Amino acid sequence: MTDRHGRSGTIPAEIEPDLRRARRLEWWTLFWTGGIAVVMGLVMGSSQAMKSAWVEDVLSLVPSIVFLVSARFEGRPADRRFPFGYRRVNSLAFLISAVTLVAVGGFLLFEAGRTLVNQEHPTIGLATVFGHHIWMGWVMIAVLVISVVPPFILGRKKLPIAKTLQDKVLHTDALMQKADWMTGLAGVAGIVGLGFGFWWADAAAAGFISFEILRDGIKNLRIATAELVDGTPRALDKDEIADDALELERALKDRFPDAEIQIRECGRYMSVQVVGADTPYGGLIEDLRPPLRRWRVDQVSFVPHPDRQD
Amino acid sequence: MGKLASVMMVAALLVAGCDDLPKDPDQTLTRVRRDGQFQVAIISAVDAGQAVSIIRRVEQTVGARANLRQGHGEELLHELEQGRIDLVVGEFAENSPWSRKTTFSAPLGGQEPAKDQRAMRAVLRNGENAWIMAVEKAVRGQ
Repeated sequence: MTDRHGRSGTIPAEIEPDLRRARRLEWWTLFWTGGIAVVMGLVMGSSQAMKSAWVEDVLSLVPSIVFLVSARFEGRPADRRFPFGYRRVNSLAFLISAVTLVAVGGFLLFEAGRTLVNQEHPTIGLATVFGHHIWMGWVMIAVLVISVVPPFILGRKKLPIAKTLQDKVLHTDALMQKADWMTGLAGVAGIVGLGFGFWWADAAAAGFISFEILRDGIKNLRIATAELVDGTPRALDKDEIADDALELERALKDRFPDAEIQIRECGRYMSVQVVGADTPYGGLIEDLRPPLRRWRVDQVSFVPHPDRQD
Repeated sequence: MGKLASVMMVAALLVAGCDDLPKDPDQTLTRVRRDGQFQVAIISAVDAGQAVSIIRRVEQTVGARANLRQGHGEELLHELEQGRIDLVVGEFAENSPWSRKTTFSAPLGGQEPAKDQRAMRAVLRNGENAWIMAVEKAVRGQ
C-alpha cells in the first residue's frame, strides 16, 4: 500500500502470489513463442504465409516483455523523482500492448488484402525431409499445429489471473495468445485450401481472423486511452466503467453526499479524489474500501471545494 | 470446444487427401497430362544441351511431350506469368527479383551457388503447386 509518508510502494500482499504466477507464465510465453519464432524462421523459406505468421509471432512477444518490465517497476518504492511511485508503468505497458494487438490485426488484414487484390498465387513447393520428397505444405501444417498448442494453454492460464490481478496488460496478452492460436489454425486451413487449388484460401483465412484480432485490439486501445486520460476505471474486457469503481463511487457518495467523487485508474489500482469534503480522521478510509478487491483502492485524497472561502 | 472440432476436421482432411494434394489453381499439371504436351521456352544464350537434358527428364516424369522454343528472357517470363508458357529454363541468381514473381526450381545439377550467382534452373508460374512439385522432382532427380 502506502508507506508512512503516504507514498505508494510495495505490492499488496493479497495479490503477490498471483503476480508471481503471472510473471512465471510470461517467462514461459517468451520461451515458447521465442522458440517457435526461431523454428519458423528456419523453415519458412520464401513462403509469404509463413513470413506473416513469423512477423505475427515476433510482435506477439511485445505484451509479455512489457508486462515483465512493468511488473519489475511496479514494486519499486516512490522516490524523489517519482513521488507517486511507479504503478502507472502498468498503464503505459497496457497502451503498448493494445497498440501491438491492433498492429498484429492490421498487419494480417493488410497482407491478406494485398494478396487478394494483386491475385498473388502463393507457391508452396517441394520439401525434402529425410531424403523423401513431400509437399512443403505438410511440413508447414505440422509446424503450425505444434505452434498452436503453447499459446492456447498459456492464454487460458492467464485469463483468470488477469482477472484477480485486474491486470490489463496480462489480459491483453491473453488476447494476443488467442490471436496466435487463431492465426495458427487459420494458417492450417489456408494451406489445406491452397492444397486443394484455391489460391485465395490462405489470404481469406488470415483476413477473416484479422477482423476478430482488430476488434479485440481496438477495444483495448479505447480502454487504455481512457486509463491514460484519467477516465473512470474501465472493466477488464469492455470499455465500460468497472463494477468495483461504481461500488466505490456509491459508497463515497453515501458518506459524502455533497462532495464530487473522482476516480481514476493507476495501473491495476484506483486513485480517488473527494472534492469538497473535509478529511475524516483515522480508520475511516479503511471503512470506505469496497468489499470487492479492497487492495485496488490505493489512495484517497480529499480536496477542498475550489469555491470555499475560509 | 470448437478448436478440437477443427483440429479433427483438419486431421480427417489430411488422411483423406494426402496423395492428391496439392492441386493447381489453374490445373496446369492436369492439362499437361491430358493433352500430353506442355510449352517450354529456353532463354537464348544458355547452354541448350544442359537445358534440354532437364526438359527430357520433366517429359519422363509427367508423361508428356515438350514443345520447345527459344526467346528473350523478359518476354518469356511475362508469358510464363500469364500462363501461356508452362516452363522456362534459364540462368538466374537465387536473389533475382523474378524469384518473387515466379517460382525458381533448385539449380540443375544440384549445388546452390551464392545467392547472387547465376545458375541454370527451371522457372515456373507462381502457385501452380502440383506442376511445380512435378518439375522440381525431375530437377532434383528423385
